[in-house]
Amino acid sequence: MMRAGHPQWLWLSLLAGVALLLYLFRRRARAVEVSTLLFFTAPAADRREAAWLRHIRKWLSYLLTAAVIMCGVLALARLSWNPSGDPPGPVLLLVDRSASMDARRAGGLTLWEEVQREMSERIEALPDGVPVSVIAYDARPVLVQPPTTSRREVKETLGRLQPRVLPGNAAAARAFAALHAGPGSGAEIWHVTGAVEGPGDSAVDEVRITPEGPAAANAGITAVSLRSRPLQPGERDLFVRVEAHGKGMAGGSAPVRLEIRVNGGLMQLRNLEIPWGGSEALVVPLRLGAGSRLEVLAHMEGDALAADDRVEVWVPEERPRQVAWVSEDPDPFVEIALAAIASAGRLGFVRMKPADWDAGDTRWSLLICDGWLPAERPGIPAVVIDPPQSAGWLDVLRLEGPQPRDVLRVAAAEHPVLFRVVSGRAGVAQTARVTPRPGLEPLWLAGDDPVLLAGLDQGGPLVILGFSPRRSDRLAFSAVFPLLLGNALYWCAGWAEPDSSEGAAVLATGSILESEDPGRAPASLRWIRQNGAAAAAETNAHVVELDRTGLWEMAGGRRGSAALLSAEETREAAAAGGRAAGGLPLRAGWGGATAVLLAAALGLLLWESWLFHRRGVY
Amino acid sequence: MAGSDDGETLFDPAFLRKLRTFHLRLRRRRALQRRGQQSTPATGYTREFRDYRSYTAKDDYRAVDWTLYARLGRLYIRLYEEVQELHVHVLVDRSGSMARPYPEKRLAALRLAAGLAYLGLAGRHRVSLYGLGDRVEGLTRPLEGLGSLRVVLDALSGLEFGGQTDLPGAFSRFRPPRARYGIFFIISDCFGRDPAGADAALGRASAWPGEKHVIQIHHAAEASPEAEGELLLADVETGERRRVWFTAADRERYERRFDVFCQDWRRGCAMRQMEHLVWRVDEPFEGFFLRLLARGSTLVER
Repeated sequence: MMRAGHPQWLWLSLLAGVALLLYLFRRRARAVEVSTLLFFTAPAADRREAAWLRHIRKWLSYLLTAAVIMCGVLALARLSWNPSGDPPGPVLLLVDRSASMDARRAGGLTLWEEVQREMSERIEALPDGVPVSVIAYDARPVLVQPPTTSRREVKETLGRLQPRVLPGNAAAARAFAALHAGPGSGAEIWHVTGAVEGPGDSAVDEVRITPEGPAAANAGITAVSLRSRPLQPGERDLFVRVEAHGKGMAGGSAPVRLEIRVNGGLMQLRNLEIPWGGSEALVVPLRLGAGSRLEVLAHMEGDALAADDRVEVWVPEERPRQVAWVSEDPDPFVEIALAAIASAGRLGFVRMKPADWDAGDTRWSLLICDGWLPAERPGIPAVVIDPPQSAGWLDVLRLEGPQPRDVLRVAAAEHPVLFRVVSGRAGVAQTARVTPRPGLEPLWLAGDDPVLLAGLDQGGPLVILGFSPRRSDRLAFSAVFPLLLGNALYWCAGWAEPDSSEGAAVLATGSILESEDPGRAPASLRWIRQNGAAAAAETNAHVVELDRTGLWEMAGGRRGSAALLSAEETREAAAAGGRAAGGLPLRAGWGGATAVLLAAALGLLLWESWLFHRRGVY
Repeated sequence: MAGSDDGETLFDPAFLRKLRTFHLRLRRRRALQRRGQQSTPATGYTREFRDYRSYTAKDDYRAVDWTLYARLGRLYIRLYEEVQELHVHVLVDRSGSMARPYPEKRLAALRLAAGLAYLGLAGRHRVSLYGLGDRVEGLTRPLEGLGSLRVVLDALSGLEFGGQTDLPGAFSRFRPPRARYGIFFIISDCFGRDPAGADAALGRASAWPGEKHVIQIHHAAEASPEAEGELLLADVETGERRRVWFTAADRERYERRFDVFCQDWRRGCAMRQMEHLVWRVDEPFEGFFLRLLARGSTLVER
């Protein structure tokens, strides 16, 4: 079976007819009568031709000319053939350009550079006429090259791609590639990545291409969180998790030096011994001034990937969040506890009647429902205390009277709401039986009834206290209740939308930021470098993608930082080596005929010249 | 090819009047069997007294003038003018190459033949015209006297040109009787089938009884063709066609071959004591004839 990669050029085969016309209407030799041929150079006897032989030679000359033209046209049309008759399907290159592709290998080249080199060779080895399209993916897949048969175009597209400091989402990329290839198209997906194939990655039939290479070593920061300590202004806990992968996975540990710098100055230094393939999390207490630049650095000898070694964080300003305390009859113990929390300066409370509650008011970061339930689930984190009745979004059974519950069983002692809460000293007067909802986790159980629940309900944090503080003598007069309420509020506040002025958010690269004024101005982002200089990232859209690491600041004053924070990328940067390249089933038998056709055209030209023109060259 | 020239074309009366002052002669005296009208430098046995000469021992004593001996006491013999009859053979090449592609050659050959025939007739010699192709064919019976000039002109005017030239073959088959000893004029371009055929042809002609004169006629374009480029050459005699790419270098080679060809004929003639003369038809006929006279071999002034 033959196939033309560029069939649009086949119409040039009509030029063979032009050759025939040129042959038929060729310029004839001028006929000259002479007295004798004795003095003209007489051809040797063996060179004299009979008329029929001359006739054959003329036609042979035409046929050779037409064959030369056809060879040229077919070469231009990129003719290829396959004895087996199977038509070649298109090839879809699924190129991983996530952060791990920038990992440096033992040979000195990055994984991306090795992939580029290997891809160039494989593309050259493709049969002519096979369309190739390219999908690059990191956090999101993007079709960067529509199907084309031009190898040069594909290589130029690959040359323009660069690894990005973004985590890779291979599953989404595979799904996109499968959708793009279409069912039954016969398209072959070449997945170019350095990632180790997981057990569940075989949903899409693909050819994985991973360059060979020895194992690398990589240590990186995979999680960072800076949290203020409740009731301790200026005191913060820095949560850091560091992972080490790659070399020496069979045993031993990786020496990692963790540096914590504030405004460029070294504040703390920790030397970690992390088992290969494992991680170590630590909480570092820090006293930080608001607006400082906190920098966390992980150093390891022979580290393969630099993108996951550094995280910068704005130290947020401690501006209290506004909390709406809605109650018809405020509980005095709640008031006492809130007063203590308010003194810490992180939360500000406004008491109001249920009639004054406006669900659309955006001032509120938190809602405290004290003996009251709104008709609809509030759109902000909420703490419900002593719910009086059921609402449409919460099923509550009000008890006849308060039921003292002196013994409480702790269902989730590690939950942040119970942080440093001594549950054994607590006793409550249960006033309502709350039906657990999906996402809500019972923390305290009185018998089989949950009296304290916390969790994410409909995407937002919700804490429900199914008891009345004023009737819970053993609770109200102890430090348990203020601590419990404070934990609940801080936990909910941690889930709340970050305050633009707070600026403590550490977002993973690849996150999308919306313009603060989506109706008017496009998103405008400034990246703050270590020396304080800013690099603007203007967009025409109302969203901007965090495509690098570091501190950023939006035009409206919103501040934050971006970091890779991807355990997968940290692991893949090390695991990229030491794995044999995936087999590339180039369709055997498919051969490009361009070189053969060009050689045939040249050979025919030489033959035709030798046959018919060698005596005409003087 | 039928000739279309009438007598006026072949003959220029004014030029013929000039020819009246010439007559044909043999370069060397020869005792001919038949006596004719031509006087020779030698003495003969006619009744026309010419001179006296002292007697020598080799002379016939019957020629001694005894009367003069009686008066002078010395022996003198009487010399009489010798008059011989020559046979003039004019062979005109009638092959195709004499008429095409340059018809000037044909006209020149006919005018030359007519002029020679006129001289022969005017000198009271017998004149025979022949057509020369692949064989020699007589065009007229032996003619005598100027009254036969009309016959000569008619024969020449009606001479058809065509066919091939085969000089060796034609000369070998042409055997004129010795009784017709005389002068042979061969008017031809000498082109044949073989460029080296001059020697063979002249070898055959050397046996003819008489003096032979080869007048080679050719056109200037035959000595140096002007055409260049891709040519389809057609031989007018054989019809053979040949496609060539003719360049300046080819022209030089052609001219060298042509010169060698002419030199072969000249050398062959010289070896056999034949006269050889080349006439390029762009040279005026009168001028050529005068050049023929200037050689002083065949034509003499009265």
